[in-house]
Amino acid sequence: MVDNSADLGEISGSLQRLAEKHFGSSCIVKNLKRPPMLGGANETFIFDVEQRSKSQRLVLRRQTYFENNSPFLAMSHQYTILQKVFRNKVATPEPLFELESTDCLGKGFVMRFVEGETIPRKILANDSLDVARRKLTEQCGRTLAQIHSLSTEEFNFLGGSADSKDALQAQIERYEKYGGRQPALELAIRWLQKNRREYPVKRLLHGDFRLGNIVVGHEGFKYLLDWDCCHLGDPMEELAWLCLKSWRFGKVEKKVGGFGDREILYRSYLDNGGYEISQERIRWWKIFGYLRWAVLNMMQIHGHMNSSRKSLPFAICGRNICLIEYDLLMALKGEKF
Amino acid sequence: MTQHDQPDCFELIRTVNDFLESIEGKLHGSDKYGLQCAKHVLNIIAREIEGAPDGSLQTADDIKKLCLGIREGKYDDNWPETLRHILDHVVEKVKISDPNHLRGI
Repeated sequence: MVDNSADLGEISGSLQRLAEKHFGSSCIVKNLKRPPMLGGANETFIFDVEQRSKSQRLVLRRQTYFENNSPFLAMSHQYTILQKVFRNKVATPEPLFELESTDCLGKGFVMRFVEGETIPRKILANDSLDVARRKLTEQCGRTLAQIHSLSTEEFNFLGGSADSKDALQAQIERYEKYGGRQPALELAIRWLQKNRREYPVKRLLHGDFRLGNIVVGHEGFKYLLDWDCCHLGDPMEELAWLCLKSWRFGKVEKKVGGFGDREILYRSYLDNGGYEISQERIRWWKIFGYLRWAVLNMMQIHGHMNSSRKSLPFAICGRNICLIEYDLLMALKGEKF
Repeated sequence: MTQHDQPDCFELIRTVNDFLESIEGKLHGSDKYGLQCAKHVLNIIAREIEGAPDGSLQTADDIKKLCLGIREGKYDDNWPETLRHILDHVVEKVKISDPNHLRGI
């Protein structure tokens, strides 16, 4: 696949030196590989560090998107968030260390590898994950309640980000930056502006809580990945996002991520200390969510057309926008103006 | 218009698709994913050629005017009609990108 990232051979030397710096000169980096990059901000490398017959599997996450007004957090912020949520016992991979400029590997960090399934269609179809699917909705509600209960004081550094300050304005500015001329998205923007709702609390949100970023095992939810869209906002934003049709991966009848029912999600969320459910705000955040997802796709195709950040998946993002617009308009059709 | 020799573009697309399928089993990881993307793109191209030309296509100017109008609130009083009109055009695009999406798949 054509993309802008380095070949494995190019980074393996730097990675060996990095491992020696942190684990001593007797360690050897082995089994370096790169899983497919499906579109996000960071590229991922998986590798083993072997030392005195012991082996540990690690993950390098590197920045690939360098534009202004990025929807993704700086790597250093991602690393800080990972440290803080890990310390607060949110199920997430353990962060180990950040890259330094002398490592010659760009910006990023290393974390521990976690075992489990992340591919949405496998999670939704594999017979061996039957039990997992039955438990997953309840577990998602509990994890969301846990994240939304974390003290925001620790995450004050996120308060200045565009998405934390005014999530809708952040999307509009990006939409325009990417050359926004999409009538369907204009309708969404107009409706969202006319129907803005105050929300009582601003909490830490993962920002991209859905299959693809959840590691699933036989007992269901194992770990939450990819904190690159983390921000402060209305907890209802996160519940709405998980229920977008875009994250059902063909299982449209299961409104929660393709695997569950909303009532079970809300019940679990409330039982575990989550915030009062507002259907009205969830509907607003649903329309917002489709707009945001469409704008993220616009970003990928804008990068593909205007920079060297090219790939087949990014090219397809451009033709996916209309699918999101369709879901958006079907949702908007049911709303009063 | 020039009459091209055989094969026509649909046969060319089919042949490339067959080739991709023939090597699919040999690929792993990101290469395998890339191949699936490539097949998807070929399908989009085939549907787009088959569907063209569409006389109802909006010009870039039409779209720009519509976008600005919506932003300024000019369509607020005709909201359901405007939504219907835009949905019709979106459906045309979806038919090319992924017609299964209209059936909720």
